[in-house]
Amino acid sequence: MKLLLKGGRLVDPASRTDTTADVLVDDGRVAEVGPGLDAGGAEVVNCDGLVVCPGLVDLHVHLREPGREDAETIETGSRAAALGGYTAVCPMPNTDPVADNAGVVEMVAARGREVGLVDVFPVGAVTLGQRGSELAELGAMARSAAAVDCFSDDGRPIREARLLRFALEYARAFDAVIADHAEDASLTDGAQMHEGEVSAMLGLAGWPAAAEEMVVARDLLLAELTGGRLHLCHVSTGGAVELVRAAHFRGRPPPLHPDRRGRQLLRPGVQGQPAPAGEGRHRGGPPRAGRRHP
Amino acid sequence: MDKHLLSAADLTANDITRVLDTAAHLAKVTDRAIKKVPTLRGRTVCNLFFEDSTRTRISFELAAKRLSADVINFSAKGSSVSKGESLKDTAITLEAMGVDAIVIRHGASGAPWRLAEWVEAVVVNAGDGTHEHPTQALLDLYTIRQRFPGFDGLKVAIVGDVLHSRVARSNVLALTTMGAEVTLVAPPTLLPARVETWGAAVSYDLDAVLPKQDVVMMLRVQLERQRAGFFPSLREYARLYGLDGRRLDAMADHAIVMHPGPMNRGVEIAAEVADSLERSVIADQVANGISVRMALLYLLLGGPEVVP
Repeated sequence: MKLLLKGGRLVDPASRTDTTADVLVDDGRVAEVGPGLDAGGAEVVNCDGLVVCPGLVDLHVHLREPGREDAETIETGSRAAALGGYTAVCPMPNTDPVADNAGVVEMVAARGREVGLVDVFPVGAVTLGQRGSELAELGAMARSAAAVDCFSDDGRPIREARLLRFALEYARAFDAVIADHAEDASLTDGAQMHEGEVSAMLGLAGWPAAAEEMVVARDLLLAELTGGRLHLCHVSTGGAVELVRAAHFRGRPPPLHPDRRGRQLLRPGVQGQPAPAGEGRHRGGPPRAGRRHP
Repeated sequence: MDKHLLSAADLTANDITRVLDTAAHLAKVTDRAIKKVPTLRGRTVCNLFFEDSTRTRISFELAAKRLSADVINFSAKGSSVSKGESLKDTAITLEAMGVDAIVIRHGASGAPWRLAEWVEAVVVNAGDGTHEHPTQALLDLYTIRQRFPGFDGLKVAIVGDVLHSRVARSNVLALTTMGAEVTLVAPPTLLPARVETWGAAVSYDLDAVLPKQDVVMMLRVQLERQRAGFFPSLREYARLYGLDGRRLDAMADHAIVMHPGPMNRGVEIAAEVADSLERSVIADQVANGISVRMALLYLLLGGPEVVP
């Protein structure tokens, strides 16, 4: 079966493409790209005014299955991803039971294939039960049918530097990535919003940017020490970006994903203009920082 | 004035003057043999206290009763809240019972704002988390006005745990609105982030600040702050930031000492200072609290413009 995507704006950062062109898909594969392609017998989709691009990958999702199917399932999450233009998602391991063994990651991957809407690449836990005390069987998960190549304790930062060091080193055997949540919990205990002028006036416990940045700095140093592959989850402060940039100049750029919630959650209250107190409807961790840093 | 009293920031200089003037009129009721006027007869005021606070609750209760309002005291302990009822359900229940005003004390900063969204009744913030305590600020201003001709250029030091103090936030807002010059004095660990934007001077040195002040307002320091590591020991805190007899002597002759209570005698304030007849106005603050809260309930519950 052939499909002709006609007249769309073709965007592909990998090949530095941003142009208007047609794409001919033959039996699920891109067969030809160029302006004014002949439809032949293909079904034509008019893409005028639309963007045609490689499928997007969401590195950090929560499909909640197994354990919290009342909130989300692999099927509902896959549907949402497909609707948003994503062709692959990486569900975090904070399920119940935790995805810290081959059985759970294989179940998640298999269920993803069964739903069949997007690729589901489960992220395995770095430590048993995400408890931060002993390494999970990264090898068993990597070599399982799920072929896990990214490990993370999700929202729980790996507190002990020694353990993160071993994880980064050990994961090299499988060329896998360790994704860390950069937060020093002793600085964020009870925190309700970004620490600054507004949190102080509202009497809300603050979350200082340093809580993220000091862990980013530590993680970068350990990545350099071990030669392991580090990923930083939802980086949210300017200072963290500067640290990553400095590491880049030292020769080991770690990948990171910026906090995707981005500007839609920037409420007046966190931009420097006080919002009415009690406006607590749009919150997340890490909290939104002010426009200027700090 | 707004419908509710949530923040001292919502009060203009005119609003504050009006509250203080009204309180001065109503204070005369307290001097009578029969301490009661019929102004709020038939109105119902609910004291909704999620935190223990005997003095503030009693002050509001007396204020409402002296205006002849019916008073309900709802405390979280032993109530439906201890059975897991949410603030919203409590609010809806009170609303259904037809209360006219809700005086709320809550441990969460911002709780009175949420309450005001849910109910038709007038909401008075009697202290929310580490955020604000506007009626305390108003009674403090009333007490200051009894001793000084006005606020313009008046020098007020607020000393102690500013970081966790709702009293400090509301007082800074109200005092600066009235033109006073406020200095916050505390160890750096007990000052909020970006405190330099508050429109008040900041100092870590109580002895350098004291001689220049007209008013010295001491804040309660909670013992658990020491355990949390904000300062090394109560003894060191008292030595650096406590108001003792020696420091009292360093103050100007006309200067007064205030404290919102309850006091930790021997920590932020020495007994001889708290009990000083010439300098301490702490007992006046308690008495004035009733008059100021009468004035607020009277103004917010739509009493006639003319004071009885």
